[in-house]
Amino acid sequence: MNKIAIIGIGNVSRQDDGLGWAFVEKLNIPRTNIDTYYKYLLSIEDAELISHYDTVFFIDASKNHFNEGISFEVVRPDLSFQPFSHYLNPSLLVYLCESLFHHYPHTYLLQIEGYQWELKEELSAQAHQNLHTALNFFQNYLENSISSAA
Amino acid sequence: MGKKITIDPVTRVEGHGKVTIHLDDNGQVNDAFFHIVEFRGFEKFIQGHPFWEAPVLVQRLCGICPVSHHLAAAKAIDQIVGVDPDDLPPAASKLRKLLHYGQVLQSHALHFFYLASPDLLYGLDSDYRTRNVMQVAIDNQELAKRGILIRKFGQEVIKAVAGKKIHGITAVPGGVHKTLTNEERKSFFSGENIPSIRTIIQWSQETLDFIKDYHSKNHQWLDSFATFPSGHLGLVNKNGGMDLYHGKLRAIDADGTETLLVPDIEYADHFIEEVKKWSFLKFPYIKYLGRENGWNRVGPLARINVCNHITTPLAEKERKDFVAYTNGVTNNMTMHTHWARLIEMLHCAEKVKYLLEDPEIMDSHLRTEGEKRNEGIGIIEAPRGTLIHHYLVDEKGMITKCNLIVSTTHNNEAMNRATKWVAQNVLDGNHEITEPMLNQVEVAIRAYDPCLSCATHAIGTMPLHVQLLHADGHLINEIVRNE
Repeated sequence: MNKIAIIGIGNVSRQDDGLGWAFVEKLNIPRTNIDTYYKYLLSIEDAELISHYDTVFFIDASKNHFNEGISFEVVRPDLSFQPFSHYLNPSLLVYLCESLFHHYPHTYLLQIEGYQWELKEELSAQAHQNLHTALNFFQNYLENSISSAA
Repeated sequence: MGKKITIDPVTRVEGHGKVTIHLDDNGQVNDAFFHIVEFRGFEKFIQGHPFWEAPVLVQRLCGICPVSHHLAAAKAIDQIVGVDPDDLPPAASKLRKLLHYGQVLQSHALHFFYLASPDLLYGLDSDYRTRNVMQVAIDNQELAKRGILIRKFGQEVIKAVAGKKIHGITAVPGGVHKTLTNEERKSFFSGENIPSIRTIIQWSQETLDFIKDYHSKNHQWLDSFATFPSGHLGLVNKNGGMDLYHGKLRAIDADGTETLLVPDIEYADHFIEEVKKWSFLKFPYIKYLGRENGWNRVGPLARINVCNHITTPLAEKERKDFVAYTNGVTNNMTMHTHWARLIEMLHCAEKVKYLLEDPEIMDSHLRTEGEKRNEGIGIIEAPRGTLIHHYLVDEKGMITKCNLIVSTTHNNEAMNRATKWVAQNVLDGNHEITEPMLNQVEVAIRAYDPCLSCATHAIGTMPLHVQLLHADGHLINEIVRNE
């Protein structure tokens, strides 16, 4: 069976930066082949983590504007310059997974537009809306993917 | 008019620091400072909380070394419930030690493979775009992979004992709240989902062989870079051996003469902290020796210097080789800290194996209690050095006072001296300040593996910001490199 990881990234103490974790928390997909993770940020050892999965979804807040409040894209391996070792982007993580552990999971990035980033544990109203949009999108996507596979 | 060069932030260390170098008109270094620009306030806002919350709260000081804070606070609150370290049930003591050695193992692996190895593998003058852990992962896949897996092993030990890898909980007043399962214990020997402990020991040994080989080919710069005399401080057991969990405080001067050997709980009688207006990080020193002579390095190099043996055989052999290099004389060579750190990594791997093999660790007697006290002191050797937690409580058990002296605070003077050494030996007289020159300042600081978040008991993105200032503060030029 296709092993799937859903990784929420962010900091719930920074308002809409908590969108990634909120997504994972509210996700309702009771399947035994799906593992969920909460990460403050991605680090180099996560290259080993994702090497155990066939499909990986990263869920993260974004300061960018998206027409419907969310963006969904395929993540391709990319060796972009990373000056600080305590922060990695998904593309580089996939690159490392492939080169160090000889495994290339199907990887996707779901970004949810956020608006407020102050020291506070609460999503903004607009971010809440985008969160629901993201959840609906993802659940439909996953159901369709599973149906297609069947 | 003089010039001031600022490196802000310092990279490949935990937390954020700033370096300021003051030059005169001839490009000669007047002075150099390592500023800590974060203020945390833990010692204040923990007041008013019940003492049993301390091991949970203080972990939030840091996401890199939370276990050290958890265990130091645990040792302190044990005393508040009337339990000294020797009174702890053996299983509880061994589980805490397992947690401790697991986290030192993974912390040392993190530092060597992710933070220090780019400096060693690519040299001080290499392009900053390749002098990072990503390039190490590309050029030295086996080294990078081992670094990831040794760190993962240590984190799995932490998770097994404390419930999760970051901010887990195991300690309760007078003991621990759970033991290992047989499955957890076996998993560290099987090699199924993670390398076995025997593999970790082997890799630790091979990494040591790598650093010794590297040293043999690069000893000139490694022996001399940022080298200066200093005192050294660490915990030792009753026989003078290295003990990362509990012992007496021992300090020696730069020539090896003992300057302090006292029970750890008497630290306040012997240490004082100086405050400077240009940094939130204090300067601890041994009172009777005075500010100039009483400061000490802590951490791997200091611990090797202050002990007379290591209790595990492979690490002890390596310690002897290390000590033989200086013919038994105290080692003040800053870059040898990396070598010493790897000896400790091997020691921790050996200790983890012994603890896992010890049947007593599975005993169900996990907690005890004594007669309540209103004060508790917990001192432990964190990965970066001696860590002190000290709490006073009222009759209801609420914390009324807290004093934390973390490892990086002890190393504050040493990091400032290292900064100044580089400034005087590398930057002095140069009218063009290059990026490799600035990197050497960071290399000197990185050897101490500082955790600046801990040390100022922060958030957001911080671009690499270099400012060139007149001595009177006017901006001459600036460069910003965004994350």
